[in-house]
Amino acid sequence: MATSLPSPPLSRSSTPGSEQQKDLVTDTLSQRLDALLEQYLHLLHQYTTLREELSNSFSSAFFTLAHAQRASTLGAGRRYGQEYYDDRMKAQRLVKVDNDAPRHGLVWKVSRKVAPTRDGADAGPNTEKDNVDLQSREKEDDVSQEVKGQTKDAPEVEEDSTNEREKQDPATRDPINWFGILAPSALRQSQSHFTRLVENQIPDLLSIDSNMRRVEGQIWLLREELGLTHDYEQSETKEEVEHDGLEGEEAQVKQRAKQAFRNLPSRPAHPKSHLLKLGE
Amino acid sequence: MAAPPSAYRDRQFLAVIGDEDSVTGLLLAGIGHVTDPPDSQRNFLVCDSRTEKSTIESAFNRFTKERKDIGIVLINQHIAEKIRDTVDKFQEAFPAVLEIPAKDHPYDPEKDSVLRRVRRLFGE
Repeated sequence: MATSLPSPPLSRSSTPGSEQQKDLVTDTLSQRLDALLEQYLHLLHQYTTLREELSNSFSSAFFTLAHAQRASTLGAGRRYGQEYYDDRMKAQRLVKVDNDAPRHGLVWKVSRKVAPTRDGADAGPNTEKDNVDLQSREKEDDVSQEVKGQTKDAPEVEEDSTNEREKQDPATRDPINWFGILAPSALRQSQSHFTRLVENQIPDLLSIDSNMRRVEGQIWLLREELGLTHDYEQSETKEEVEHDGLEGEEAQVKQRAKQAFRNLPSRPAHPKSHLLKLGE
Repeated sequence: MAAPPSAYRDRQFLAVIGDEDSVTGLLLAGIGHVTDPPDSQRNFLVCDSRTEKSTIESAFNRFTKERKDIGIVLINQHIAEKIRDTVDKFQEAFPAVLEIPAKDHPYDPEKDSVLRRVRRLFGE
C-alpha cells in the first residue's frame, strides 16, 4: 500500500521543567495584572466620585453667582463679568507639582500665593495650612462685612495703611474688589465655592488622572509581556486613525505593546477573564 | 518615564477657556494673571456663541504649546467639543488639561477624555 502512516509528533524542544517554569511566570504576571486592574478600578471609582463632586461644586458656585447677578449692586443691566476685570491682575493661586512617580505619579496642588514679606522675600505657592487660613479668612470676610460700620475697635493706623496698600497692589488685591466695595454676600459665597474647587477638587482630580495614567502604562506593559495586546489591536488601529498625532508616554507604551504583539505567534486567554476574576 | 522637574517647575499658573460666568468665577478664585507690559498676555479667554473656532484653537495652542508658565488648562467641556480634535491630540503631561462643566452645559461623562481612555484600556 502506498499510503503513508502518519508520523508521530515531533518531540517538544523544551523540557517539561521549563514549561512549568513558563506557566509559573505567566501565572505570576497574570496575578500582577489582576492586582493592577483592581487598583485601576479603585482609581476609576475615585475619579468618578471626584468628578461628581466637582460637578456639584460647580453647580453651587454657578448658582450663587447667578444669585449675585440678580442682587447686583452695579446698576441696572450690569453684571459681574469681563467688563470689570482688572487688566493688571496677578495670580493669587499657584500650581505646584510634586513628582511621586513610583507610587502615585504626579501630585498636583494649588495653593494661595504667599504675599511678599517686608524683607522682599520671594513669593511662591504656599503650603496646605494656607488653605485653612484662606477658609478662615473668607469666613472672617463674611463676618467683617456684616459688622462693618457697627463696631470699630480703634484700628491701628499702620494696619490701615497696610490694608490700603494691599487693596491697591494688583498682586494682592482681592478680585472681588474689581466689582466695587459693596459686593453682595452671594458674590462672596460664589468666590468661596470657586476657590475651594480650584484648591481642592481640581488638583485632586488631576492627581488621580496622573495616577491612572501611571497604572495604565504598567497594564499595557504587562499585557505586552503576556501577549494580550491583540484583543486591543482593533480599537487601537481605530484610535490611531482618530489620533494621528498621538504623542507622549501612553503612545510609546502602546507602540511597544503593538510591536511586541507582531512578534508573538499566539496569544493566551481573553484579557477580560482578568476582569471576571475581580468579581469573584 | 517620569517627567524631569524642569518640565513643570515654572508651570505655576492656571489658564481658563470658558464662558463668561466660568471665567469670572475662576478669576474670583484668584487664578487670573496678566503678564507685565509691553507683551501683556492674559491666561484666560472668555467665549460666547460668536467666538470663532480659530480663536479658541489659537488660545488653546498658546496655553498648551507656547507658554511655559501654565501648569493647568481648564476648558469648558462644551467649548472643548468645538475643538475636539485639537484637545484630543494634545497628550503631553504638561500642562494638564481638564474639561469642566459650564452653567448651561453640565458635565457629560460620554465626552470625558479620561473615561474614553478607560474604555480604550478595556478594549471597548
